[in-house]
Amino acid sequence: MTVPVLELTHLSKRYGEVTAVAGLSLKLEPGEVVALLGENGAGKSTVVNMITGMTRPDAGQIHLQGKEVHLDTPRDALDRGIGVVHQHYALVGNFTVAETLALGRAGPGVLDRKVLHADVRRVAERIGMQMDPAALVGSLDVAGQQRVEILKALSRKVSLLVLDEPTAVLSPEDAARLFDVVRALRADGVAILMVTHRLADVFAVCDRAAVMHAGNLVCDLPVASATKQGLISAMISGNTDIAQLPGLPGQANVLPDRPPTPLSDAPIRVSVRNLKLLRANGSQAVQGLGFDIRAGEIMALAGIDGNGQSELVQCLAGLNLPDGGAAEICGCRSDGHWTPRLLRNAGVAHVPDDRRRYGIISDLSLSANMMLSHFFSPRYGRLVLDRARARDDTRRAIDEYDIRTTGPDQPIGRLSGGNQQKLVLARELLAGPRVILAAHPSRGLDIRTIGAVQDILRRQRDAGAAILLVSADLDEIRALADRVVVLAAGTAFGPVAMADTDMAQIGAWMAGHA
Amino acid sequence: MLVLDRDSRVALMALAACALLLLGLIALAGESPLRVLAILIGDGFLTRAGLADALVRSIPLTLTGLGVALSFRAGVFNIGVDGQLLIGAALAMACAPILGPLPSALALPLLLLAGTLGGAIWGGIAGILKARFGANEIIATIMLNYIAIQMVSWLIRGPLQEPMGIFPRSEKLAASLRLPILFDGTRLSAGLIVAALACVAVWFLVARSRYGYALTVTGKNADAARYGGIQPAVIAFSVLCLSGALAGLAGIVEVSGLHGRLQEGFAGGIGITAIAVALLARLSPLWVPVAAFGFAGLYVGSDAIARLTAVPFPLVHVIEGTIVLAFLVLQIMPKAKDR
Amino acid sequence: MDLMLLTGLLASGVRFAMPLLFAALGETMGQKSGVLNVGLEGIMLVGAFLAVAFSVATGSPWGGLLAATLGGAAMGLLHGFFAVRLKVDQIVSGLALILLGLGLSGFGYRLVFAGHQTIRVPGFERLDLGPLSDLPVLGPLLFSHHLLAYVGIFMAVGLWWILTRTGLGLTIRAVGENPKAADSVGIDVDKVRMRCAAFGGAMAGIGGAYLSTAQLAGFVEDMVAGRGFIAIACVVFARWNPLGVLAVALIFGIADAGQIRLQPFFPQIPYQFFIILPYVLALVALAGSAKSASLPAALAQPYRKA
Repeated sequence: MTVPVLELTHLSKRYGEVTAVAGLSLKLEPGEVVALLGENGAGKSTVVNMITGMTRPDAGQIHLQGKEVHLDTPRDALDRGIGVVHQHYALVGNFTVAETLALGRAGPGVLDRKVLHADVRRVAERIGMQMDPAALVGSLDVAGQQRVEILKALSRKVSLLVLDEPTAVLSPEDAARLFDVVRALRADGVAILMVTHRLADVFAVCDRAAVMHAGNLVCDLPVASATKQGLISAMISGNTDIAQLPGLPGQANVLPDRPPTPLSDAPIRVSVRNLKLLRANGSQAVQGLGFDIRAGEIMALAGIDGNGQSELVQCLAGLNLPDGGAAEICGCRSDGHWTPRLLRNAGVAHVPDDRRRYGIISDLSLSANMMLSHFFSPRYGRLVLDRARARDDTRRAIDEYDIRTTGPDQPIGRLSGGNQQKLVLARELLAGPRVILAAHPSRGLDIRTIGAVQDILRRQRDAGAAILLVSADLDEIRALADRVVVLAAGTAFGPVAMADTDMAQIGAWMAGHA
Repeated sequence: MLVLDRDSRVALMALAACALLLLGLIALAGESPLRVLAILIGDGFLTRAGLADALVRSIPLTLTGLGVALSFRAGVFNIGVDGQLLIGAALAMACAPILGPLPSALALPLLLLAGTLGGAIWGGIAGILKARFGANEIIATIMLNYIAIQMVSWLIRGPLQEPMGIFPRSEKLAASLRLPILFDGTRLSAGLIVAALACVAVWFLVARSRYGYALTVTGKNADAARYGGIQPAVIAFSVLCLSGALAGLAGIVEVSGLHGRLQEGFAGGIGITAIAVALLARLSPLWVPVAAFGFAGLYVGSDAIARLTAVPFPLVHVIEGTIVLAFLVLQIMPKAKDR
Repeated sequence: MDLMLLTGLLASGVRFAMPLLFAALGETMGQKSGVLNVGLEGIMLVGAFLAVAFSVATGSPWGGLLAATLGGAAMGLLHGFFAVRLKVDQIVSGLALILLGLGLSGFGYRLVFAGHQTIRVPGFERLDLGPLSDLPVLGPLLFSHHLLAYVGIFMAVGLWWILTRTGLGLTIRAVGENPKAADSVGIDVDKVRMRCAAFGGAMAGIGGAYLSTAQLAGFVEDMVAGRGFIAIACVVFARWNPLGVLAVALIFGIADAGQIRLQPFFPQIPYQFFIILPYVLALVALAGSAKSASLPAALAQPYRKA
């Protein structure tokens, strides 16, 4: 009877009123590859944070090699043999691979290049990986950088390796190579916890699948006895009973108050052709993407975060130029002048997903933030600010959207995230935009507010706006979308009318499964 | 009950150390700190002569402080106020012969305008370097300071030199081009009114104008500014021009209102003090004159200290430095409470 | 221009470059670790004053040098404390340093030397390496500098070597590029930065000492004349590479030296034109190098553990 490498017993974590993880129990044996599945917000990241020492659990125990441990810092976890490859790499671009592995391990003295290079080769050979020790990290592509992160993790003694969304940014070929590495590690006795959304990963290389939903572990079974539908159902609804899966053939898909499919002769407001977008680190975020959005329709851009949604919205908002292909919004073309100012003047509204960075200025008041998106419109004056009007607009928004605040002069940073988001929405919709780019508009909001936000978007759609809704929430997509396109695994599935598909199909696409 | 964490406690200790340093320096000079303090406050703020002198000195400090506050607000660090002030004065003096014959009511405003323009141009050079080439404005404006000093040095020994040709200074300004003295017996000129008007104008710009809003937004969150369509490079260029303009105005106001002619070092070292003024005023245009008056009084008092005691004048800079550090500490204190 | 003049110009250039070199090398290490110090001017002033004061007090320029180094380190540490530990705006903290430096050096000078302007300050002598120094061209060019100058050149090479070939260099670079990466392998980001800030201050102090005890022998109140700021321009222009800093400092030094020597050849051009050459050069360097800068990615950004 082997001692499990990792044993989590009744692990719990709350953030304020929100329960992120509730009573989770999980075991990993040496040489076992376990997939941790779940939607956004299911609690996977919190579990990873607790295992890697970034957060402390509120309740429950963690046992490593049979002994109870308290992981206070990431360094703690590292020292105890828990390696992790995060989704966002912590690498220094102008270091070589050898230098990267040496950081923090070599002393302050002279570095012996030969020894360092031999080090790299030794670790790489252990898992059958090819790696040039002299390569500059910054010159590697995303898959290469991930390999460096893996080598970094393995350069210390690890008994458990946590991989956080490892295939999110990989092409199928790179993913296959990653799985080879995983198999080599498994053969070496390392336990691996793979956090992922992609069913392809699960069936390709994992021994067991553990599914989380809303903080709970809803099923934990050997992959051999799992089915695709069962896993999807568990991820989406926490229910492993297949009969309960929404959207199966024979069940009504449409909500009672959904208007008929929009007229196909409404003017096209947004047009994207063969669009290619790169991420900040140079990897490909989106390629060959093409779709149209007509006035009076909501196009959902579904998919797990990290599949190019942010880059797409930023591009359509004028903050970035396409790296290939073309886009056209309300008459503005990406091969001509393409700036946020021009697009806003043409009637484009942008609800950003990174609100704190792009959407609001925390120190300024609500009414000051109200003016941000209308700076180049005559609404608040040409030379002198019409602050009275801004205050009026803000007061009206506070009423209409039920924003919890002391008044239009309160610094917006004091409001809760949900209330901040409501102001952002109010602001963006103020001038009756023709196109709305809504990135995760109801993320972090309570149920009632989510319903209100969805009502607002529906009303805008009925008034003729073309809406691009970025969302990873299948319920929201089902409630709002007229058509849907899914970004996953480096490709786009769709666009397809909601009436012509079902939730099972969309869920499968989101999991990268054609 | 104020609970301070370790860093805040150490910060306060650093401040206390600075205060002790000041006391130590005074003691080193063989004087009693109390006497020094008495002279500082007494001569600086409590005598009629001292007050008048402080008011006089607060004129250029207010104008340059406004310029610095404006630019810092947009996140642009204009350290080139010295140079912009000099070039503003120089350009105005170069125009003086043409303006001399004109009636005062027309000539004087034109003279001030020329000064403003000169400063704006000098600030604009740094603005172009930043907006077009991405150059660091701190170094650019400081380099332009030194270049400006040499340019003025050449001008007052060359094209702008007084006819007698003996001393390195410009010709005296015609009477029609002098800012009138407000109160007989003092050196206080109408520059005070100019400074007051500038305060109001800058306040209006910052608090009530669209441009002021763009400045504030860019300074607080450049990403959000871009999101709203504002271009940070355009803001950087324009604010350096405006900031320089205010400094240039300060330059000609000093020459026209106080000195009467352009000579070397007539406003030496005001730039750094202007920054301290702007910081202390929390970049708010209405507080700048208050902070400017405070620092002016500090200088008057320090002058008196240097005259009446053995404590050398540069102590004032140590005091200034301590004030800036104290300001920094106070800025982080509320955050300490929230931690 | 004949050979002797050229030799003289280059040799002078080396001398004039040294204060810049020390300050810029120190700032390079500081900025590589992510700390921006615009207060070099103030530290150099303090260094210059302390060197003169303690040189006279101890009768040897080495005593002055030691005092300048320690004083500079203390000021660098002060800046580091505010910038790294308290995480305030690094530019404002640097400005405070300028004020303090201006005040302390001016105060000290007037207090100590008022009325004693003619006191003899023991300064560093230029080396006389016998027959080597007497060589026609190479003598003055290579073998007749102050010992400190050779130390400066050696430090440039040494710092380059440390940054590129040692574990310490790796640590410093990681802290300045991606503090999160450094933190994740257990490096204490703040501690590394504080030490680099102190080192930067010490080097600026030495730069000031060179000015007042090697290049000249005495303290004048505005003797640094913007060199502290030109040093920062050097760092940017040299792309944060100590060897590049050496080259750039030499160029500035030659420009500085040239300004005096070129003047007699162009009597119709006002002398002020020559004085501004180094500053104009700095502006051109700034404009040309800014876009292609390979600056440490985390420069002037305080690191807060998430």
